[in-house]
Amino acid sequence: MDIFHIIKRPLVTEKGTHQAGKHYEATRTKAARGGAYTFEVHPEASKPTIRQAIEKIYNVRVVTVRTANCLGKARRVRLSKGTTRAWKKAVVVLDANSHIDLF
Amino acid sequence: MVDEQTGLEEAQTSLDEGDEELDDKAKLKEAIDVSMEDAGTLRKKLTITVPRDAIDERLRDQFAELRRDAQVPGFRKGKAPLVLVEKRFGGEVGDQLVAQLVSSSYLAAVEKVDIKPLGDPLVWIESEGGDTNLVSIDKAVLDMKLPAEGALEFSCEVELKPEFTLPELDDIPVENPKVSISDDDVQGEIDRLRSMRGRYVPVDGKIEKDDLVVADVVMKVGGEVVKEEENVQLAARPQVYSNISIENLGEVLEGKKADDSVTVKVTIGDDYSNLAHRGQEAEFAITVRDVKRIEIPPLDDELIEMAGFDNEAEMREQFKEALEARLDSVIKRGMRGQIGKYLTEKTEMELPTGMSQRQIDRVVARRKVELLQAGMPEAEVDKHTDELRAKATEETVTELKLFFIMEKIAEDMEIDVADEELNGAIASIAGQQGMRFDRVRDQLSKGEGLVSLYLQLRDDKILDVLLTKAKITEVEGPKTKKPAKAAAGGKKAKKKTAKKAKSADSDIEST
Repeated sequence: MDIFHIIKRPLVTEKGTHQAGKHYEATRTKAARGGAYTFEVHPEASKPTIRQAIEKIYNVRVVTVRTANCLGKARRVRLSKGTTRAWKKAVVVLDANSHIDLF
Repeated sequence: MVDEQTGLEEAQTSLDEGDEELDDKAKLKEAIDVSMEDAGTLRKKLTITVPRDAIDERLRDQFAELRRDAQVPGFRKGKAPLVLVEKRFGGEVGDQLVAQLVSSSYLAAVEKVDIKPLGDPLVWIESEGGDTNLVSIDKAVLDMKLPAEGALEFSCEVELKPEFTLPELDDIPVENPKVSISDDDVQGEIDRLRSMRGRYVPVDGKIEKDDLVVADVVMKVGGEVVKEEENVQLAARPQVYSNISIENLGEVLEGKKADDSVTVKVTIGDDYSNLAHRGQEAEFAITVRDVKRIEIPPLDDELIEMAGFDNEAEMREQFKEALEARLDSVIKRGMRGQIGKYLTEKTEMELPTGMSQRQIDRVVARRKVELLQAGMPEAEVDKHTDELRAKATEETVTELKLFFIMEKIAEDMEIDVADEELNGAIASIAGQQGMRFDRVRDQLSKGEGLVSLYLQLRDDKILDVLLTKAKITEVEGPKTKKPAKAAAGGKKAKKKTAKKAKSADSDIEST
């Protein structure tokens, strides 16, 4: 799988920016920049592949990758039932010397 | 009590805001860099430079404000980071800020170099072709971009109010023509009232001038019947019938009786609706059916009562008073005109060319439209353009001059028109036109009506003040406007009496 298929898009949200700013403690290293960044990734991507992809795309050092499968929500239009798509979220904790400019 | 306090607080905060604005302006005035050079008579070119610090400060303020209620997806309202807000709304804020900066820095610059500008400035803008144009400030800000780095620099041209010294305002020589209302004038007025109440009565016998004729008309062009009409009302004087003017109708009809027939031949004019008939000869066969003549009622009790008076003496008295009032206002206007003339003649000033040019163009355009509406062919109107322009120039120059003089006098003498006076004037207009007060005011405030009404009231006030100080000399004035009018009235009266005699004759005939 191509690395650009693994990482779909960065998630620019309130929660994400909060983590990016504050989460360097999770790196358990000296306070520097670092931080945790949130991405939408391919549902079949594994933690090691995500780590590789991020390190390559943004040229940073990754400390930890946490992932979560977000199930699609049930939706109903009149009588037809359906769900929104399921997707995978990855929170990538960076090394204290690394930094990503999301915006 | 509580209300009072909050009211006070409100006043306090609004005051603070005002201070802030003032502060802002003063700061900007300090910060900007202005250079001024001449650009023609009463015209200056200002080059204004707003330093980067001032721009940044404003940008920061703007974004801080914007951040508080910016809606960005993924964030609650007001929670988005500043960087993101800047990126998202940067362009809009920049455009807004440039408009704000240009106008406020212009105002600050005007204060800084201490000039009195006239109207809005024109801004130099570089167009895509690389040449620079002068555009009005509203349009200029649409094209201007906030520089990403460095200072904002722009140059504009502005016209100045002319500097001049007022002539001596005391003892302005004014001539006051002595005219009085004579009994003849009153009689003329009464005759006019009588003729207004006149009625057309059928008469036997020959048609006289100005009689009303009921006739059948057949109109032929080139032997072909174009129009046939029965019971047409025509007067025995030059008339327009189906858009063709029959100049000699009076002479042709005179002396004819009922059931007589006449034919009139007229060449059809160039403005006739049917193109094929233009320039051809039209033949009107007129068969007289009935002759009517105006009967003017005598001055009897009925007429007096209808006019709303108790007796003749009272009527004459009232008419005299009304005429005197009218004469008074005419004389007063004349005297005001004399003062205006004195002021313009005694004051020397240079007029801003751009403004007077614009004004002249406007006047010329209006005159042209008037001429076109009066039916003058376009080629003819174009020929007269130079003539019109010369005339308009003269008028406009004096008008503008008077405008500046009045403005200065108003400033010097601290004459102003209060809102109540303005409302009073509007109310009197409303009364005259039979409209509601607010409708008149709305109509006026749509255009420049309210402003010109204000100017008119102010000028009247100034002139009245000057008039009280003026040196008024009484002159015998048989040659002013009013006597001429009176003379005309007299003529009319004579005509009426002649008519009256005629109608008396016809009365005898009919009995």
